[in-house]
Amino acid sequence: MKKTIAEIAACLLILLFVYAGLSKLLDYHDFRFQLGRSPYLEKFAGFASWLMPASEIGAAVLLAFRKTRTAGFYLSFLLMLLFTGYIFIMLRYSSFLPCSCGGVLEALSWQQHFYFNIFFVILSLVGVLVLSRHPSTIEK
Amino acid sequence: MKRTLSSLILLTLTAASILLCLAVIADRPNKSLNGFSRKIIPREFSVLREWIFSEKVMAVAGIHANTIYLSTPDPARLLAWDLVSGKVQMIQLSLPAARDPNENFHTTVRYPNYYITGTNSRRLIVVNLLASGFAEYDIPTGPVLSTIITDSNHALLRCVDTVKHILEFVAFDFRRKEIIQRRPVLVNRDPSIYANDGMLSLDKENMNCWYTHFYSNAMLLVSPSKLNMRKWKTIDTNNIPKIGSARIGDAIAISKASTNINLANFAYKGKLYVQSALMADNENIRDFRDYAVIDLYDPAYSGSFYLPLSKEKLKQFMFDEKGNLITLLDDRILVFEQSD
Repeated sequence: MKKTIAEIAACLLILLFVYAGLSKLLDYHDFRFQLGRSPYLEKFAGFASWLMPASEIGAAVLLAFRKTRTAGFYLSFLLMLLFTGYIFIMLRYSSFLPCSCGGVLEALSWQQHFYFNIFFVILSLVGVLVLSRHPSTIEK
Repeated sequence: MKRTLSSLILLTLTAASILLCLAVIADRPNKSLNGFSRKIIPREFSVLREWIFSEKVMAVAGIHANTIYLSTPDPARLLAWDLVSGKVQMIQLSLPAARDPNENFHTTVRYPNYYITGTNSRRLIVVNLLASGFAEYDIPTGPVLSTIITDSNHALLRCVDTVKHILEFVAFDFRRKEIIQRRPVLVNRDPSIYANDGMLSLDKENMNCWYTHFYSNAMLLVSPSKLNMRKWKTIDTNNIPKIGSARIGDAIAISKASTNINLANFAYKGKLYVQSALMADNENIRDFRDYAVIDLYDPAYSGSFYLPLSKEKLKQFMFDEKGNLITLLDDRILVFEQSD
């Protein structure tokens, strides 16, 4: 059961990170442009526009292999915390909300995106806790 | 387990520290800004010609050899304004049942032909202004929102697919008398009925059509025959239309006015000219109020200039063959001579 939960959590996170990372890279110029409009990221737009999709794809790769899955869940947890915190700050303090999400995620409102991210934070947390309690699930 | 919890707490603190650093560096955003900047290109405009209308004029239907053709509320009645002599000639045509006063219609003069499509008429009428004969073509589509005559044999129609409730572009061939291509259009990821509101223009020099949406930054570059589309965005940050709607039973009603983003547009020599309804962060409020601001795209944003049209609604604008800017307002038409 625990193994299944970890597998499902990993699959959902891989799906999210691969889709989000590739969408950003495929529409890189638009993504870079939208990041440049963010009041918090405009100074790091060039750096962040590569780091973000690279981290997402990196996390997906770590989650894909059983030996590195725990590290993948930790990285997912950190990334999703950062993304969720960023959305919270934008919703709380920014009067304009430039959308830099790739693909269909662009269709979500910022509030919807906030709850969507919280779900994935919890999913990453569940993955970390399951694997730390049952390390055998990654050895099989 | 302790090690896991310590790691999770450490990661949470790391994330909080990164976000705090970003917030401190950014020093919180200015809440009054629209989130984009304009690069102003200095251009001087002087009025070359002006005509104050004595009757209602709907649109500029076309330009040919120093004559501007203007459509009136009656599709059979055209006004021809000679830019050299300043004289106005009224052209009264004898049309079939196209002259339904309750029908919205769209007109184009591509001399010597005059093209008319009605929103729900399901036909396209072509009148020869020299020979006074006409031809009728069936166009089996939903309501037609606008029509572009791309060349003497083809037309591009912007229609509504009322079954799927989406916008579609339809390419029509006059020789074959049939639709040769049709493509659904999703200008942005908002499937609301308001996604249909926008403006389509033809770049005659490059044979490209451009479409801008009135309520979002969506911009499409369309090849007129194959209807291949490339999506771009105007400089503002409005990806989704900000239109409030309320559901009352089965009906949907507008609960607040829509926010206009881009207004009239015109494509000319590889560039799209769009009148913007939004003020940029770096813009002087007086400039924005006293002038009509036009943004240039090719298709990336390349700059903006001001037109001296204080508080007047610009219905339509275009360049003539000499590069003069023709602007249609509610009660008059102005021709500007420009110098860079």
